[in-house]
Amino acid sequence: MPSRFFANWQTQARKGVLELAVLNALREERRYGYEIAKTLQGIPGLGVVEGTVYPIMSRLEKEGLVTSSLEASPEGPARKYYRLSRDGMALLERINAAWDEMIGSVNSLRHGVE
Amino acid sequence: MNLTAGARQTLDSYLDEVRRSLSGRGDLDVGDVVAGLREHVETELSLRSVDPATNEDVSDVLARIGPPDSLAGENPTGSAPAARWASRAALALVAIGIALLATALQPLGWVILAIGTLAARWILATDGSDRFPEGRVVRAVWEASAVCASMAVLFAPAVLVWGQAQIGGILVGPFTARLEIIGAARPVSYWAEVAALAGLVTGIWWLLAALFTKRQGDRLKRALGPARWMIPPGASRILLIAGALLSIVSLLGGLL
Repeated sequence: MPSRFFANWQTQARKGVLELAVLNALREERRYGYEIAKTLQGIPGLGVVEGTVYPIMSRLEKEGLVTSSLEASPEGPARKYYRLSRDGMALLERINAAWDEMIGSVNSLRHGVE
Repeated sequence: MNLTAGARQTLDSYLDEVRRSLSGRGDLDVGDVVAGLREHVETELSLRSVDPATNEDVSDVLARIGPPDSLAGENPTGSAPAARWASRAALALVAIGIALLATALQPLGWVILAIGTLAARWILATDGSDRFPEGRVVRAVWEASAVCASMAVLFAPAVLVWGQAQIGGILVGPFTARLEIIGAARPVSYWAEVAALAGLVTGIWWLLAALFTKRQGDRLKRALGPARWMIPPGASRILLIAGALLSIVSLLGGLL
């Protein structure tokens, strides 16, 4: 059925995009987990469930793409701040370039067909 | 963060489910994920200014976070699940083994017990099973024990050197006074040399501890639980400076 096909496709597409979104969220500045979750959750179309950010951050840290530091907070518990590592920044550039190429290709296909 | 008993149970049950759903994942640190989710819940509740937070408050936040099995997703690396060697039964056997070994190796046994205690907490922190039981008395006892155990670990080299010097004499080299005394009266200069050697070994030990704290500080804080205040910001730098100073002073003291 088309609706189930669309739902499956959307789920798969979002899985691939989520890590790209997280890396780009850290591009300009360091952020803590709660902040990242709320930022992404507020972006329409991403369909982010807040908790999914944490396994992603742990994976990225284990891959050496982000580094973290625990700092006391004046409001609430201590915060774990994340920032892109040098490897993470380099990888993000490659991923963003690949993303632009993909989007460009799909769009040219769309405009060519329409 | 103050939670009612029911709220705390709801949160703990949720996090236990997360641990189960993520167990065996070699691509991430389960303890890390659980700690992050706990921080997320506490931050949200703190921003809502609820004190104490009720079961409804926590349930609302957890509903926004998503069900535990939704966090598992797929293992993108396709790697085989990590072996869960830190099962509770194995941990119990290890604890008994350490206790027996400590008893047999007196007077070093108390050092072994201290290290064993921290090692057990480390293992639990690896898969996120490091939740502490409720109760001020339990936590106070743990904090006191953690302080004693940590002091034992930090000063273990000095104790070992001093103990060896007491029991059977020690070849104190490469310092200026090279003494080899077994069962005889030891002059003051001997103990000065032993103190210098103990200081040097301890200083080097603290340098290694600084490196370890820098790399594994977060997991160490989880292992220490309520006693995590023992690892303040900059702890690795403090250990590095203290270790370097102690090593240099001891080396100079031994040579002079």
